[in-house]
Amino acid sequence: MIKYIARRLLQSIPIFFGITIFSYLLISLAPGSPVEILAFNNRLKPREREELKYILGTNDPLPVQYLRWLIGDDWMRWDSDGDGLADSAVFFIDLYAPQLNDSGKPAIDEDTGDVLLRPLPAGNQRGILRGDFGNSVYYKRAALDVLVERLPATLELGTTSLLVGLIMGVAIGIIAAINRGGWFDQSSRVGAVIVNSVPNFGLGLLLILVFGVTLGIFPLAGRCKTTIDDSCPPLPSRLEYLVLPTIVLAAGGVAGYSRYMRASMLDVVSQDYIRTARSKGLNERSIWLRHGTRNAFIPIATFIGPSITFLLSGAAVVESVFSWPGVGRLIVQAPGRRDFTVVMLVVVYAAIANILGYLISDILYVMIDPRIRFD
Amino acid sequence: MNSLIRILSLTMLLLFSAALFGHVAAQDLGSGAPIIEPNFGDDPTTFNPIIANDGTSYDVINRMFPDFIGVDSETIAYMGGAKGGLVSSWDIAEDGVTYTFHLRDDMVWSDGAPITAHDVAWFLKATLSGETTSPRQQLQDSVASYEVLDDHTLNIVFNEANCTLIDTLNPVYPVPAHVYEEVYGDDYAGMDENDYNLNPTVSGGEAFVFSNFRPGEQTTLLANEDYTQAEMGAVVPQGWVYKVVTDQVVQMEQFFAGELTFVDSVPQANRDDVRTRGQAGEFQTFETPAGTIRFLSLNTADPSNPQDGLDADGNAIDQGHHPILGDVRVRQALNYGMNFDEVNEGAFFGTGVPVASHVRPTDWSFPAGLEPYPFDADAAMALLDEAGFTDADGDGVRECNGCMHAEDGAPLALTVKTNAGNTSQEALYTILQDQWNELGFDITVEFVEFGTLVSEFTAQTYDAIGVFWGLATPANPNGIADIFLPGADVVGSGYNTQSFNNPRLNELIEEARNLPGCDLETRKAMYGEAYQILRDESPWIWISTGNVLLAAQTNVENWAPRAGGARWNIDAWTIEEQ
Repeated sequence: MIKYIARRLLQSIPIFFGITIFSYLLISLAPGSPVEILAFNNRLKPREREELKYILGTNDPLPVQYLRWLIGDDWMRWDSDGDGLADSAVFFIDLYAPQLNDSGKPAIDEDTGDVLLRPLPAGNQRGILRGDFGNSVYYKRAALDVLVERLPATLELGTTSLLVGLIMGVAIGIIAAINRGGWFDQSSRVGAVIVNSVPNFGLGLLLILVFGVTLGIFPLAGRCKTTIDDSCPPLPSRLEYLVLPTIVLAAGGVAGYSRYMRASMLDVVSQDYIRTARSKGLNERSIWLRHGTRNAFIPIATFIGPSITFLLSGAAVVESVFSWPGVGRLIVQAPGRRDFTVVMLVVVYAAIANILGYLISDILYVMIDPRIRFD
Repeated sequence: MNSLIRILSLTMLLLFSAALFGHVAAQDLGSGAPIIEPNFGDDPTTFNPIIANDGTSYDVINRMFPDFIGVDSETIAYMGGAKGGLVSSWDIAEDGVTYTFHLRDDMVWSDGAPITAHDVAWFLKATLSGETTSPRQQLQDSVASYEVLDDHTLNIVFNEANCTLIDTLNPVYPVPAHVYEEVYGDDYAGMDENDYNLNPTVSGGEAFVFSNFRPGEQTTLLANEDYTQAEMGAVVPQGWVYKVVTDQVVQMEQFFAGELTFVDSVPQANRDDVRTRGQAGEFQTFETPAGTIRFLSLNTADPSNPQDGLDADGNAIDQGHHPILGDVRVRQALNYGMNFDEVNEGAFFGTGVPVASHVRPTDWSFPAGLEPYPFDADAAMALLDEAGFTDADGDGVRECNGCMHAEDGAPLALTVKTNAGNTSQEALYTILQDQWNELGFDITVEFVEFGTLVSEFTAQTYDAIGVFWGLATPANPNGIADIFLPGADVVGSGYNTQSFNNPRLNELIEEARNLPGCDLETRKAMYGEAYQILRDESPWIWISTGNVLLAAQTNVENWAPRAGGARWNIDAWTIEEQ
């Protein structure tokens, strides 16, 4: 199994780089730059906007920007004599930038007609391969910190809703399959259609209005009680905050898993080995639960991988409606702000989550179905 | 018996005094419930005023750092000794460039250190280094030098005398120099990366001091026990919580449920409801002009060949002409063809206020006779006829038949773009599309992602782009007026993206800025003429400013917002248990 996992991880490396190159190209070629968004302020002057382009490096050619993101720029331009300014650079990197006039254009020496230059600082980025994801353009601090501080909230909500969705969905699917054509089966089908038809934000607002505003059973939004002190108690003490967002996020899972589980169960029970089990005189409970359910789980495992990706990447709409401080909102806001470092961090994060998610799916296959081997 | 009468009289007198003056008697520090205010947006990015560059960060900074020069909440003007400001007065030397600022001597940081001129000097030192990442060019360009004369006196020498120098000091705050020196040293370029930005240990000089920050959830400040300007002798609210609420519907439901103390901008869709319930005594409400203005920028130059306004020697560069909007009569026709009442009802729920310029009626430079264009479809059509755009083929769309800049037969077609996802902007331009098409235009409206929209705006490749901007308070008349100068017409980074150039306007704006003696009435007349030129020439269609509706719970005593500041007496807000 270890060899299999190692092989799969090695296969993932070119996929990972492919994803990053494609994403970097996509966001860089999209109209609008971080400078235009950050400096959309009538009190700023053209020179400030041009200056910002040098500070953020958006003036550099695209391959240089990508390389800087990937392997940093401390090797591109460095300070040998310790005066704080770069004095050496690789052949394709400038050591100097033009001084700018009030219009943000290169300033010209009136005597010589040459462009006035100024030395640039040494590179200080190490690149993602050395663990440096750069500073968020918007938040002005390490992009990784911004993501990591939101991860616990996302994991909290994602894990809960995945477990609730999976457990309830599988249970409903099994019961619906056993009672095929009965009222429970029909009700679960209608319920699944309704739940899938209602958008998350609509369901979220509806639950807030009914259970928060009208009945006052659950808090309206947030992850913990608003207090003057710096305390968000452990999860068991604030479960009430988790209920409504979990219901909204899990609802889709319950609907989906229940339908897949039902179909899978019905497929399995028509197989020859189930007929054999019946002819051997096994009781129905044992046939459905021991032989049917285990085999019906195999297609469900296919969905677990992507679900784990979903769990890690949060749910922007639900997080917005419930003011849940997770990564979902961050992921949605970053492209609009052209916060390239956060967008690319999210790409890396999502790529890793996907690779791991599908790897887990494959491992689950083997665990559930003994016929499959790690070959 | 006499003693009894004396005691009774004294008791009565004390009770009477208590009843009479009780409301101004000193309160215990933090004796009231905390203020919980929604933050409909995102986290603050920093609590360091030197690098702050976003509204949310300033919302918090303004609660825990004093301004350098305070703004009087009644006159909405910079004033020595104004509440919340460190400067008590200033003198201007005869040279017109040397300002001597006298600072209050009763402000202290939360660690007990006095707030002095050195704290302002540290801000200036870091900012004027030019190494910080936040844009402060206006300040860097205007300040030549500064000198601390003593702990409470600071000299600032400007590069040239003009009438907007105090405005350029708007971003200046005192910062705790003794702490910043230790934390940041002289690494101004690396300031962004310092963890201290979001975990400040020392603040002060305002009603609250920093307590904690929970990303994505809330920022919490506590009552400042050393605040010397408290209305009630001490800061009454226990603290101030800036709570992230990211959905407007949920925000209002939280307010209705009493979970939020006040809302500083009730969404348009809720205003009627809040007003009605306010009149019924359910909430306290206050309405005041908004600090934003909606406009449609009209590109007067050739969009297929964008050019800077000036060459390297400062000479004007030929901009070409926009085939349709290059003719001022067409721009005026668009103005006359806007039925504001219809727009106001359809897009702004009746809350919009028509404007003729970017100057608000509450600004000192607002000229009395400046009127928005009236809705007059006949006048609009007459102007289009005169401009040579007529509908010869009877298809409902006018074509060029002898117009100034388009080829004969070219339809009167324009593409208007605005930011997608903003429902009022989308509604506004959908309504205007109908109104202008009635005149014979063929208007296409596109809703574009904001980043893309800004990119097209600065690239100057558009016909017309509609956005809205916040205005500074106090208003600096040159703030937006400078945008219409040819020097701001820089493709890719300047905001004179309509390539407007009117020599008389250029002259007026510079003269008003540099008027010797800075006589306010003379400057007002100059700005008035400039605004009139802009209104008549219409490089923008100034569409609307609006009112904002503020609402507070009824249990908030001393809530007395003013046009110049909703929170000017936040230290006195007393929240009674309900």
